[in-house]
Amino acid sequence: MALLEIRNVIRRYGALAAVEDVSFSVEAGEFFTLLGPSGCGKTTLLRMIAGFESPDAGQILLDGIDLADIPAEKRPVHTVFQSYALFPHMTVAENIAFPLKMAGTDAQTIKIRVKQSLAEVRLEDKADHYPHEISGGQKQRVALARGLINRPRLLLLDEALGALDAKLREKMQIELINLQKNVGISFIFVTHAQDEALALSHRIAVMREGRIEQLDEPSKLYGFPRNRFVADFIGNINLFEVEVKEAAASYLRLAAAGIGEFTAPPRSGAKAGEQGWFAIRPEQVRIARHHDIELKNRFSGKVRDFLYIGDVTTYKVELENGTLIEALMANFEPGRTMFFQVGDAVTLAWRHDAGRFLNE
Amino acid sequence: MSKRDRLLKWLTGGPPFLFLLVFFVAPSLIVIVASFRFPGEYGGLAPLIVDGKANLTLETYRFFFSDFIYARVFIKSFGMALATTLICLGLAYPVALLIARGNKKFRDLLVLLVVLPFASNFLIRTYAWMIILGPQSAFSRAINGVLGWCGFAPVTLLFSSFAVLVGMVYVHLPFMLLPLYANLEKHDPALLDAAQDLGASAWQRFWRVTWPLSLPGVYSGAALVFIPVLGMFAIPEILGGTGDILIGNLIKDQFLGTRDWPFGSTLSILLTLVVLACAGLAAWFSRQGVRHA
Repeated sequence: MALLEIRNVIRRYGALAAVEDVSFSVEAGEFFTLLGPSGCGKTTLLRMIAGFESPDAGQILLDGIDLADIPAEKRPVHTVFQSYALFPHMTVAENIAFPLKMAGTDAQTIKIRVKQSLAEVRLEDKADHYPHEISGGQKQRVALARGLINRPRLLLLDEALGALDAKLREKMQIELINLQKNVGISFIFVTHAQDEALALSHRIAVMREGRIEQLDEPSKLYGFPRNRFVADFIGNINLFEVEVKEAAASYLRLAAAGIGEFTAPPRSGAKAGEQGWFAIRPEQVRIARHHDIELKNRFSGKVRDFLYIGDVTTYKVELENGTLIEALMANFEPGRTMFFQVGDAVTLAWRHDAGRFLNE
Repeated sequence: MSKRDRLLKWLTGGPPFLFLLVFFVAPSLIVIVASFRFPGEYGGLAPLIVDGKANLTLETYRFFFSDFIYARVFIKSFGMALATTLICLGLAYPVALLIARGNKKFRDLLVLLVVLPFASNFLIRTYAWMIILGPQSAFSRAINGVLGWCGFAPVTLLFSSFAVLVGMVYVHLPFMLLPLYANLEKHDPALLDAAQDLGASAWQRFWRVTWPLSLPGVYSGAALVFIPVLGMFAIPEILGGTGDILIGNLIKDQFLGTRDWPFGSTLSILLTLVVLACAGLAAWFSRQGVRHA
């Protein structure tokens, strides 16, 4: 039995549907992420699991028990808020002790557990500090320690890393993964940052307008997006219109207006004559000066623009039909930052098993 | 600092400084000196210098501490101020909380309603209570009706400590409510969500989060009620009986009744010292609260 089960949950505000018939389940010990742009319903979903809001229809079950009649304070579910919501009038130690105090734990046990918990998040020396006296990353760790101290069944994290700067965020991501592994508690993480979701999660549910567009492992989501929204939302991707010329069991022949046909991986359900889009990641597109690429999917174009960001450079190449394709190239030669100039005639190519035909 | 800055500083700071010097520091000094002088033969003050020597005495202070009757008025006034403060707190807190948590659209309107009574003269409002509490009023008759039905003797509401307390609470309620509202309105609602999420019941959320965070508001509200009530003389005079005089009445009588100015000054100074001590204590407590907020 799954730890948490969401069954056909609906939540509407007036005519606006915040969550529209969503179902999924979270396993014990899983790091599960709800990913989507703001207003997609991910936070509403989280608040319903926490108990701050109730679904208009559907069920939320924890360990097989319907949570409908259990108020937020009685649910074995804790939340780490985006603002951390640390109690400003309590010290770090008092903040962390709060859930135990509310549960009526005796003072001696609280003392021992708080000490362990402070060690877990490496804040032993900050026990007697007030929240306004510690840094953002430390606040984050206090919020985590407070949420985990009485070992909930489930920890909900609402944009929990959103308030940190980029460097600290990366560090906290690693800490978060380790912490989750150590405590073995299921995490449900809500974020709009796709890179964060990919880095942290066992599984990700991509949401849009109250619905789940795709639920998969990070690598599947990135490599095999189900539709254009997911393809576009996760990472960078090139998308252009194509028509299916031939649909075989082991390959597809696709045609793009003005540049001709090429081979793509098969997709079940694709039929000859079908209109759709071809999606391919920039790092899967090879870019070269001469016709020295031994790949069959090969098109010539002109470099229109490039973006140098240190480790890699993204070249924007215009194909003969006017389509702009991005190709990513690692700057592997020391001292050399650019392989092509704007205006250079180049060849773009990709393997016949790269990319994906999308029909929605 | 440039010459222009210095000039600007004096132009902005000078007038209020001068005002306080003339209308606060100077009168205070006069009162302090007056408390050490002899009363004049026909009231007022005896000459400060007689035969080239300062004509000063500690007699009024000795007099105050020699008769417990004056200390008793002080204690009674303190009791009245404390009771008024606590009742105001009890009445204002729920209202302030309700406004602060209520619909944003109506907040300003509700706050306006709270301060609206200030628009009419406070003496008129106090006289209104004379009518409400008077023996012929519907309120009095209703109360005595119930008492009579239960077999108790009827009570007189007006000209009693009860009437004074009602008047005090009524007049000072907004002074408690406004600082409380100003504080409660700033509370982050996420803290209550967090507390609930972490297992706190409704009562625990109030007692562990809202109340401690509101303490600075409670302290400043308490100071704004306690201190004026301590010196109030109009309300006891209008609504109180002969036995309900407070420090304020005592001081007023020394100046306008018995015309013993030195003793009146002494009473004023002692009251000021006590109030300063209270205000200092309140400020210290409120700083303790602010440090964590």
